[in-house]
Amino acid sequence: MEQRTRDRYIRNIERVANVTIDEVGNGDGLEFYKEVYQEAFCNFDQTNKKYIGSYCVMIPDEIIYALGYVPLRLCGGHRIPALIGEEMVPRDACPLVKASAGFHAMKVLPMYNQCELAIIPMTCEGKRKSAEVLSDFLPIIPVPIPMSKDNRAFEETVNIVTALIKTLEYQTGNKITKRSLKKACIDIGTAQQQAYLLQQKLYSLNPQIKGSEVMFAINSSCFVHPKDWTKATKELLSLIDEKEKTAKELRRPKPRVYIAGSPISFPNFKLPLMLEDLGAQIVGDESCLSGRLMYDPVVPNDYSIVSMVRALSARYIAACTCPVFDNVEDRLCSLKTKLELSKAEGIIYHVLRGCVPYDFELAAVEEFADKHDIPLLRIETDYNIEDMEQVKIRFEAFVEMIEQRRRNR
Amino acid sequence: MKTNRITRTRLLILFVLFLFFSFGGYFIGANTEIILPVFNCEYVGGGTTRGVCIAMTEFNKHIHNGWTFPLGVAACIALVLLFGRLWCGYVCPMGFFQDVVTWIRQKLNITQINIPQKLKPFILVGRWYLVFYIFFYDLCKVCPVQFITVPLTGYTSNTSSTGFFWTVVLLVAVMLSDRAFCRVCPIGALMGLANRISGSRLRKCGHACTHCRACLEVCPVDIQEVYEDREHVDITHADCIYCMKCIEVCPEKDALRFDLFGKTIYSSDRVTQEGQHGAEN
Repeated sequence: MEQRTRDRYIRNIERVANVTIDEVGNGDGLEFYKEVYQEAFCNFDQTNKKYIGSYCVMIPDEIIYALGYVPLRLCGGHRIPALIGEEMVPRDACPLVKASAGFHAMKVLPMYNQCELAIIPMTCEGKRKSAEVLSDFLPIIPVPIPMSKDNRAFEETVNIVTALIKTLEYQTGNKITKRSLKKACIDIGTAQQQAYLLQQKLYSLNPQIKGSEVMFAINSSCFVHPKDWTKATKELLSLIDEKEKTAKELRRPKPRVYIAGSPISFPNFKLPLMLEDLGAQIVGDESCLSGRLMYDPVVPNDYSIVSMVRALSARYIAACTCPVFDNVEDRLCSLKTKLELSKAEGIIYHVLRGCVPYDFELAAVEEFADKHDIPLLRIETDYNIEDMEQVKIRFEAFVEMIEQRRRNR
Repeated sequence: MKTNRITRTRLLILFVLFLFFSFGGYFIGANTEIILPVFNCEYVGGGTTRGVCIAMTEFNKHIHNGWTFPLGVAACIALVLLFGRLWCGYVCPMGFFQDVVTWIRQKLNITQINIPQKLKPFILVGRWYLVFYIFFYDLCKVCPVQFITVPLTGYTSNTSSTGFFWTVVLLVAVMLSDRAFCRVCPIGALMGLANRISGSRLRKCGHACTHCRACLEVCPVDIQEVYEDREHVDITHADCIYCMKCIEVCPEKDALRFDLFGKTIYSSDRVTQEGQHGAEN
């Protein structure tokens, strides 16, 4: 690659990342997460960390930590590599697949260059076919996932996860021990507890943290060790507790909006930022890269390897509400619970252009929202910022409508 | 991550009651009038109350000896109707023995064998065969329980090669699977009928459940319904021994709860305190 092209890539990746960091990460107590993103997206020096990449949220990070490697969620949310990736995958593929392919092709970010191998669960078509595209750049382990959640499928999943461990052990030469897996489970479990508490803060009537900031914080856990993340999040939580003590009740509470649908990952925070600019309060999201990323805990029956593997399969695959699974019931149930807890007054249904599974489930979610008398707005967009104004107009109307509904009650 | 508050309390209760059933007779005297719905072997040296099994096997022998026996049986049935299989989880000495073996198994890092769902009908047939057996044949002759609980109290019981064979089978089964005996226990099978109407209820809030399978993975008797059922609020199963491990592990607030006579005793919640990562290991 020409040095000139490389420089241009670096400049653009850094620029876009920095814009989001500056827009979201300026709140109190977010310095740590800001640094994490800066380290991940703005530092182009090679380090000596050994990474194993994974896509989606269905590959247990615990396994990778137990092997002595650092896991990375490679799902890209960056619009510059999405442009590069456009040449490698079909036009109608979703921007996430494009960005992921683009990052590998650009070969500038150390976290993508230092990946020894990547694990791709074969969830949607995009992921399934991108396994082949990406195998030009690094060794890929495709992982078939049963698309059903019955008992037979679960036993199959356990076998698949066991086989994945065997493959990884063979590829890396390291062995997973009971102790290392347990330690990884507990480290990530502790981080999850903090993430849960952080999300709970949004359920308060006058939340002392913005929804986008919570998403920003949780998404950053993809790029940092859970122990460091736990420490920082504890500090953030105590800061919020302090603020809650002195907070006064709002005379006119902000309209509460829940974000459902396709993943929102760094640095593509345009939807939450725009909503907050218009005076809405984001009270939660079910995006797999923020709201659901650290939600379900791993609960092994005992700490033997088999029990832990079963618990990992249960947490990462059985509890996953990704629309690629064969029915929507689990997702609607979890939506119902979250909406009740967060007292949301409106749902923004985010569809990444080309993300067919989420679009398919729109009808079911719309019907569900109708039944519960919650307005829903579908927004189809990608990582580009060209459509910002159009989206903004629709958001404005939506937020206004929520306020109007409030007055009518 | 889970708590084990209830499990600890439960094991403590089981331990104290095990001592009471096994040695209590030395202090307060053996009382053969009181019959409790548990597997407490008649041949235990210091036993203070009777297990209900002897009442079943020797029903014809006792029924003619005055009014205390029928009254004891009636009281026992009333206790079962009131509490259901709560007795299995919190009182039964044989249950205590199995829980101790499970604890040892976890210490020794022996992995539990998950009994496939396909085998469930066969287990059911075996259980009801034993119910038939306990009423019409002399179960005591081949009962493996006497070779476990009686030696634990320092006595020996009668010898029977068939009984020894079943004891070995039982020990291996209990070592490999939690509460293996409870799955075929004839008394449990009958008490399971009372589970439908008793005051102990396991209830579930269907939409709060995320189908994460945690409850099913910890269930000692592999009850499928606790995980699968979203339609019914009352999910008390005939096999349920109310160990409440499912409630302990359930990460969703108030998704599962245990009600005793309509009053909620314990409900699930997310563990957010550090250091609560289970007692095992």
